[in-house]
Amino acid sequence: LKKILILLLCSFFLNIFIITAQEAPSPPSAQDPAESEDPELDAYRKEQQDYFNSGFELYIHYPLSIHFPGWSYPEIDYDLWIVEFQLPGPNISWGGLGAGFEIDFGSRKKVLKNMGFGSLTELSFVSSANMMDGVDLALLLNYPYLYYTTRREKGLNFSFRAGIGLGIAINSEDLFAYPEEKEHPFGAIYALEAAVIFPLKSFRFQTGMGYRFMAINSKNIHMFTPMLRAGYRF
Amino acid sequence: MRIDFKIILLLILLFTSWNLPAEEVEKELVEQYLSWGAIEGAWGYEVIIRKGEEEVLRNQIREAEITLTLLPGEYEIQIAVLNKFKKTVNATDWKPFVILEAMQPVVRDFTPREYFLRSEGDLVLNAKIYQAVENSEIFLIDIEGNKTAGTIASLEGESLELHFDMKSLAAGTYTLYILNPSGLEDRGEATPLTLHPIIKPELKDVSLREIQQQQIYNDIAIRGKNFEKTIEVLITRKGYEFAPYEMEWISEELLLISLITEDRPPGRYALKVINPSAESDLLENAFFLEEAPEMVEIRHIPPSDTFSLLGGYNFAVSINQSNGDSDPIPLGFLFKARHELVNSRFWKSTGLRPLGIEFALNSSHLDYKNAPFVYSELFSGFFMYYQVNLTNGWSLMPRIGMGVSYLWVNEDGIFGDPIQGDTGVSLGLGGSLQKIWSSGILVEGGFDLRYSTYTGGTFLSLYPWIAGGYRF
Repeated sequence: LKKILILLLCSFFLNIFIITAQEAPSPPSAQDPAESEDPELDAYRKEQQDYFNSGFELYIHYPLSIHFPGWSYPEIDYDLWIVEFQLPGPNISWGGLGAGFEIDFGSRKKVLKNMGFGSLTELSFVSSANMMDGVDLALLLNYPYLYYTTRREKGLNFSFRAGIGLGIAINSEDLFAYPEEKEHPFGAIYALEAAVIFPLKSFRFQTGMGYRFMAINSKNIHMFTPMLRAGYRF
Repeated sequence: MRIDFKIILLLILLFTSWNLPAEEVEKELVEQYLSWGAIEGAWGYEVIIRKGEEEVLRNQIREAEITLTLLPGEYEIQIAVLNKFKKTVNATDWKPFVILEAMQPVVRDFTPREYFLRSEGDLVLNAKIYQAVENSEIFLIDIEGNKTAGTIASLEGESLELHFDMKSLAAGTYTLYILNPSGLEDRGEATPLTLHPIIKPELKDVSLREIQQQQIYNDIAIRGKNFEKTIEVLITRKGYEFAPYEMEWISEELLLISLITEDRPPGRYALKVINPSAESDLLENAFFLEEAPEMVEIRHIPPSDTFSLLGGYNFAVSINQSNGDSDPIPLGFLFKARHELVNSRFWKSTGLRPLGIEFALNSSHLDYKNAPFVYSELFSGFFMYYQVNLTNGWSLMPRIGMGVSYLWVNEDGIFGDPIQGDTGVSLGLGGSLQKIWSSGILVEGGFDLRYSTYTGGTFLSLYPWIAGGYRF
């Protein structure tokens, strides 16, 4: 548990650093909204405006991970109201919460200007509400990632993210067979995510889907994660 | 009876030509009037004038006066007294009789036109006066008409040097007046002379003492006494002085100045005020100029080259590993892609400007001592770095980050048969020194320290590395 706490602290370290170091934001300059006849000037103004809109975002994230194959017994008794039936895993994690930040690069180059760097820390209780017996574990994930966000003026905008990082299986003694594995519940995570963005003033709501591949010792797992996310852009 | 004939030969009068200036004028005949003391009982007089041997005039007249019309020149004159028989009773000797041309003087100009009235010495004026002669009389006349006589120290053509005794003059406005012996005169009313009193200014204080380089200060008040309108202000220190870029005279007690301090040497400066008469006053330590604070570059948007790519060489040195011991194998590649976090929020906070994100990929190998196999590792991960700019393109970059490592084992050397592999996670920190040129080309070297954990084992290794790259 001590190690986990240390890792948790480390993973939040950068976030806290960014928050505390940041001064209160205010628009750097009020751009002249008047339209001109000069397309070069308009392009310049747009570029400036895009740049002045760049910043960073803090968010919370609610994942609904489906784990394939389930880290559980192959057959599960599902009891839905009056119906009872048996199915092999996956596990579904209803109880989870994450938080993270995203920082725009602030570049003015074509592709890079829509890109940035982020980090997500997430805790999922695999056994919390999935009506499954035998496994009582949680997953702590932390991965930094790069993202690309479309900035279309009309219609929906999308965000794509790719990251690599660290996964920790908590309470995983029952999951692993060998003592070396039980002592070392850490593994690598590769994450790919895509989401639709709904902006509301400075708030950004996202809904999307993530695919995370996690390899902890001999247990590899694919996580398909529909997610909701609410963030505030500074 | 011998008559002591005192003829007073006075040349007076004249009226040569009234239009004088420089042009030569055809000389006109003018009248000269001559008189002498009358002799009692005389019937009349005979006036004889000759030029050389030639007699020019012989006139018998009743009165002791005569009006002549002679051309300028040297004559001799004899006046005889006649009795009632018109016989000569007595006669003077031949006396030289000179008809001079009457000169109309004109005061053209003189310098200086303004002067400060000192307590001793002469006021020297260099004048241009037309038709001045050596025995012309020179005066300065004040507004009330009082005359002060001067002397002609030298006369060359139209140029005169005139001297006046300062003690006999007072401050005020004067005109120069010349009177020629012929009685013709001129007063240079168009060219007055102003004599200023000498006033010594006195400094009391300034409203602002602490000033800084690279600043503009407006309306610094200087208080004192006797400030004249055309006073000069200087800010001085030993061997160095500069003037305020603007000075406004408000009253005799108050001046307002503005200063641009630029990069002038820091330290204490004195204030000096100089009245037009060159009388001055100095206030020591009037200003203390501090060095400007270090310049902060003001940029609303960052430069556009914020992305760098690096490729290079590194190798692993095992510091500690959970199983056995390993020797370094000096082989491995390194790739880094970086972007500075220069979005508008971070850019506004200068302390966050040097932050950046690095994606790193590298390979390394370790020779396991206890058995004939080799560990190979491929790492990829993210680092956050902070670029501390030194000088001349050098910078120091500490970094911290995490990533994923894949470790595999080959039998008998790096390219031997692979036995097994495992994925682990790594935490790393490091530091490097970078040199970048204005072209964007950079070289960098440093050390990374990485802790990697795999199922059944951990590695703590040091990675010395060197790389070259390009920032664009």
